Amino acid sequence: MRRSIFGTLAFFEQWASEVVRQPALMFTLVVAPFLLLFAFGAGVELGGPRPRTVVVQEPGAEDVLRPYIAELEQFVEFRGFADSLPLARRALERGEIDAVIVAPQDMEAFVETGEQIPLHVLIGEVDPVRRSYAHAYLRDQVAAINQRTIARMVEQAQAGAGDVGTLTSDARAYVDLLAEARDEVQTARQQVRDLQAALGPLSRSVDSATGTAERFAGIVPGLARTADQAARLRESVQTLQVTVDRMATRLDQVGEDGLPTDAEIQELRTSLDEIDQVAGPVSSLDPFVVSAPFLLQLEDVTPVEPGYTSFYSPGVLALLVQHLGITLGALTLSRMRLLRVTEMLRVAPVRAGEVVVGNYLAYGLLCAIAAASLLALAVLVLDVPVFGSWALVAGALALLIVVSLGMGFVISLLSSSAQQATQVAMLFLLGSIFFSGFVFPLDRMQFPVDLAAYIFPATFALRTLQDVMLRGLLRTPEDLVILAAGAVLFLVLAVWLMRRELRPG
Amino acid sequence: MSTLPTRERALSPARPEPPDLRLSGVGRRFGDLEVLRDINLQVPRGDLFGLVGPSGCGKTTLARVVVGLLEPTEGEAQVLGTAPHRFGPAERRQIGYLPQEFSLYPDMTVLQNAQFVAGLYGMGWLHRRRRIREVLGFLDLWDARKRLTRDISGGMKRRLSLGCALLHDPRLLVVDEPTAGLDPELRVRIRDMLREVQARGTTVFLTTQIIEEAEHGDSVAVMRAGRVVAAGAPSALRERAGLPDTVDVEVDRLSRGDEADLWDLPGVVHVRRMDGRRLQVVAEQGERAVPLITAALQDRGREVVAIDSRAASFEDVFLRLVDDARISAEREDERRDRPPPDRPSSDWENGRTGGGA
Repeated sequence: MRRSIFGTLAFFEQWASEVVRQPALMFTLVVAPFLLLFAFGAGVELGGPRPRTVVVQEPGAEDVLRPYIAELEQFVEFRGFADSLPLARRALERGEIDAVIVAPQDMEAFVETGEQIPLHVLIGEVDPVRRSYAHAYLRDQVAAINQRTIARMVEQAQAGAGDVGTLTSDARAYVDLLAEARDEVQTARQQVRDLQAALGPLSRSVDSATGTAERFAGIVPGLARTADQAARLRESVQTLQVTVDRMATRLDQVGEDGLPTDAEIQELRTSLDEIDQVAGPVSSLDPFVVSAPFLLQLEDVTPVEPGYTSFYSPGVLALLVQHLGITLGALTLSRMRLLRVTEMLRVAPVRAGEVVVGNYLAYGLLCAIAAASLLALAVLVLDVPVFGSWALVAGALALLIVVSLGMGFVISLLSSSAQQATQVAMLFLLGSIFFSGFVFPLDRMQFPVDLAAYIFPATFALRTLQDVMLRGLLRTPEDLVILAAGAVLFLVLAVWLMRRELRPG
Repeated sequence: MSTLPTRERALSPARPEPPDLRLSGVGRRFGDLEVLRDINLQVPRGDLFGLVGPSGCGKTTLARVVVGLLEPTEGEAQVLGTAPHRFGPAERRQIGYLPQEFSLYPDMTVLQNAQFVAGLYGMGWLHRRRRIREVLGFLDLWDARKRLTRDISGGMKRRLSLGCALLHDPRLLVVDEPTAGLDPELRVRIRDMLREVQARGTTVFLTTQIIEEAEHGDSVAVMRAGRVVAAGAPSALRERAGLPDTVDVEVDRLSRGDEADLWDLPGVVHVRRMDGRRLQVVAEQGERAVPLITAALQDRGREVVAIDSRAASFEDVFLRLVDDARISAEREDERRDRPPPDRPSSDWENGRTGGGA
């Protein structure tokens, strides 16, 4: 037993001797990845890009487009107008700009005919991520422009509805005078005429607001309710006009017998109240409420608002530790073979398990130092949060180290040369970047390709680290179980293969 | 150069000790290639055994069979009483192996490499420290202990490898061409070191291409094309080769007819005049020829200034033995290839063809 411990520790001592002499190794393993992460966090801008945009328009149409451009500039970097679409297209192809917006000619004509105004936007993106981002972004921006357009229409409609209040107030004054002049035909006749005159502007104002609302209601769904209200308003005004006209005719024809009764006066007052009632909400509505009735109240239940650095740090940590473990594991045994140390091991009284466990201890400690240093730097310098249990973070990393080293040993023992082992280790890194959920979410992968994700221990560790560090909880405890099972499996495999390696030829 | 402590013999000298190494009909094939064939050897405990043969004759393969790196495909090997390919840790702890090629870490110092190997052999830190100092001192490497292995000379590397093979005080040391590529002075030093290791009770199994190195062993086996063509004590091999001795003679002056008289002496095979004063006489038995030659020359009035008999070099012995083996193998092949003479069917064949038992 004592000898076995010394045999196992021999590899640890050998590792320590080599590592202590190479301070650059620790730099490469810890400081360099940290600097990369730091640069990434500091250098990559949060939020969407502001595409460099050129607007192609008819000569002389700048003035028409100017108000729209002011709105557009909130979302894009406006680079100017262009007269020629082919020229703008060429600039797009050369990468001098990111988008070309072809301004629609005669926008009013589309509106008049109840058609949506086509907004033709050209992009030249080959990066599928940026491409789909551009699609979503443009849709979003067109929706925002639509929303602002609706708001402007509502404002116009409200301007009309705002006059209605003043006009009904005037009309109500004439009705009051009419009520007072009930026994005097001449006075009553004059009051009715004044009332008729007052209803004229009211009717025109309501007609204008209703016209605006109805004109855009066909193409802007948000205006439909406003148009309905405006139509009701017009109907009320028309009804009131008919009543007053009838009253004027009766006074002219019948004289004193045609004087309005109390009931009729009350009816006039009720009609004006109704008009106020309908016009009131229209004018008091916030145009932005009409154009965008739903207000997004997004509440993120995660305890953090992560930036790129915080979000990617657990992934970088998982990928780095996996790569380190696999590469060190693969190279250690390949190097032993290359230096013919395995020949010495085959003659020495050392067992396969001791060789493997000794190397696990040595390189496991190296990986642990690297992982702990990187984590500490990320937390202390880059402010990456750890909301969950540190023990879980440490446990996930420890399991990842053991399973990665085991994979490395197995790769090394199955490879015929150090170059081959290195190549396989690199393939694992590449595969992990694509499939571990580091770049693309796992749920976006199609069957059976998504199965590839589960070859890589980084997949399980990344998910666990992200959850524990950024959410503060362990959502998939089975990931740790799988990592532990992988660790045992690869340990057993490595020992078995090492036994085969050390067996007499 | 310091010395190593003498290892105690495990068995009483009064009791007959079994050989440390016994190979019976050992053969080894790699696919269709037969590298070792019918090797029969015994190396008694405490001997320095030299296995000599040209490059590619199978020496390293045999050494690897002995240490358990290769399993014989034919025959049986017993090393320290166990089949080497079944060695467990206890048996391995009794074997030291110096492979032909350097197999330590170049980025570690001499001392760190020694510590690594000592660890592999389960040596505790205190014991290891003392033992490494002894061994590195013995091999004149203590002063270079802090140097990186990649920076030391080829000779130092060989000595370091030898040191690593000796650290755990093995009962059997297998050294595969320890002096290959080294200058003569270093070769002699390593040879002396091996002698000293043997002197303290370790059995040494040495393979070499340098014939003189094997000659200094207690027993020698000569290999050719995967077979041991001769084995035994160096003197026995010399005798078996039957090569004549050479007598070097120096007289005051030589004149015509002196050589002719010597040709007539019994046992003289050849006489060659070297210059005006020196002769070289090849005789079947040099010691017997010396007085006869002296007398013959004195009878002719010559004064014998110096006369010395020397045996044929071991290189010549080796060449003769290998040559004999080659001729014998060719004859064997010829005999095998020759068609059998026509003869009537034997009774046995008749019996078989007749269906009887």
